[in-house]
Amino acid sequence: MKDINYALMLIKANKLEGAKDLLEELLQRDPGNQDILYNLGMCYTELDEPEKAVKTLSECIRYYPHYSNAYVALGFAYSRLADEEKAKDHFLRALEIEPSNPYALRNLGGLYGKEKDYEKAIQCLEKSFSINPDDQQTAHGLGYSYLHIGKIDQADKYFKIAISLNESTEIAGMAKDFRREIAEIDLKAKGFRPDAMFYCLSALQFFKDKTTEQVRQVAFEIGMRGRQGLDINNPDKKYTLDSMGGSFTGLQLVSYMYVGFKIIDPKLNIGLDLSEEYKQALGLFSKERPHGNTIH
Amino acid sequence: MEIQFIDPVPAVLEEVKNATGKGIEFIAQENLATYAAIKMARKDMPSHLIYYKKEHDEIINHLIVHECGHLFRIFKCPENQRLMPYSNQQIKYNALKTIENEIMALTNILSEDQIVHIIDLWYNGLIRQVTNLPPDIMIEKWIYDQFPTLRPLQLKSLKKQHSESVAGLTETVHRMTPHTILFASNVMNYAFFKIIGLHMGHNFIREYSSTSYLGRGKELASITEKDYTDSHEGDNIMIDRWAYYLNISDWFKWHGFEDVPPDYGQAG
Repeated sequence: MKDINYALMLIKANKLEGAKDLLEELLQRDPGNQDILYNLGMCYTELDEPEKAVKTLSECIRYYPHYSNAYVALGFAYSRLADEEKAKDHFLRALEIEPSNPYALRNLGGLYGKEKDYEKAIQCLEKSFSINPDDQQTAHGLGYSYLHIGKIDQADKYFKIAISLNESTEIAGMAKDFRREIAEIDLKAKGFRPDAMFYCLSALQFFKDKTTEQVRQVAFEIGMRGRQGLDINNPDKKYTLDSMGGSFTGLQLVSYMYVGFKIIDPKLNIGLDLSEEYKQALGLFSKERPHGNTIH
Repeated sequence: MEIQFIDPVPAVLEEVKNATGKGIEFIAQENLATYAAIKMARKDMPSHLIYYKKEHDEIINHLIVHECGHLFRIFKCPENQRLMPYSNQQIKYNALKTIENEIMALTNILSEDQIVHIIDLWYNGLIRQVTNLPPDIMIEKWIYDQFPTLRPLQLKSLKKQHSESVAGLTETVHRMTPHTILFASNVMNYAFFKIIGLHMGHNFIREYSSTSYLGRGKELASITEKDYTDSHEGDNIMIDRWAYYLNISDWFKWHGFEDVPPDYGQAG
């Protein structure tokens, strides 16, 4: 006896082809079953068969016209078909039936985001997140929307939440990249940073007698740390490294990383602009050397 | 020591070849946690692997047929619907975190080093039980029904398993094992032996009669008898039911049959 519960286990294990086959089989025996229609429709969408998804989910709605999640799923299938109007209509219909449906709110927020209407996107996503605070996609969507309206602190807060919800996902990876962008915005918002220049200078002194491999180790370790997030505007927060003794501020580490990568490959794009600070530090460094032989 | 196959083992091995398209390679191994263990062949493996203890007796024949039972069940299921339980360091950490207090309480009688050492045994043992005992019930019933000549060896083999299981009822084990783990383990053993005993006409559960595991064990056995669908899919649903019933649902997860590490097929 085949069982819908097994199809749900397959979906949870991300074995969508198997789940689809099983649900199709189950549907033949029980054509009007709400759970089968809904989950089969979702599988079709995920397996990049949105036309079939639309057909199946429309059938689901025909049988169950008050099933709000089916409208959300159908809206999602339409958005896969790039029919944003129909997608929005169905998300709104879901919200008419169930005003606090977090998935309808999240998807509608996503659509507003696509339309660059970030205020509306934030409104929907905030409401969704208050109902479903464990949803990584919503947290990321909020970070992204706040970033676009220039509310950097809020954006950083939500990217941080998105990462903490599950660090192993692709969304977490994107959130980490955005946090790095934010760090750079923060860094450059204050213009030329004399503190960063002095850190670059001490980095040059530190790396002076090191082999390329040792420089690489330090730079890479800081790079990896940076993926977790380094607070570059809080001098009280200290970090330690395996490859370098002592404790360091976030800005200090970022400066060391910048210099390290510049030593390894001066053409490398580090994704963080300390070029002015580095240039000034290089000038000071060459003057400092007792037998200066810098080529001018 | 070479295995001396007795009837019906050669015929069962032949049936494995027919049903799965691959034969079985037997590998003797010194340090095996169980008497026999199987690695089912994935797409890129030439054969299934059965590991067995070098020092064994005739019950190895029952164990081989038992492992073949697992093969028949899983290969009967469409390939893209086969699921296998798995765990990793993160899942284990999260699971053990939920019983942190119980583990810490043991520091009164065990050193931290000892606890760290046996923590793997507790965790792996419990996962092995919850993910194996439900299908094992169906396999033992199948062996009993299909291979009457194997019944004496089956009984001998199950008695051996039973004597190890009732060790979990002793005061020493009780003092040295986190309550959640010991409780779940004994409840599962009870359910397993109650069902098997009833089927085979042997009382395996006498030792449990005045223990605190009786009530939950009976309930779990009843759920199992009532709701089991005899297939690989049914096995996995029942494994999830057991885990839920014992409050250890998050202690393992599921992935596809072929989603194994690249070195899975290497013997050893």
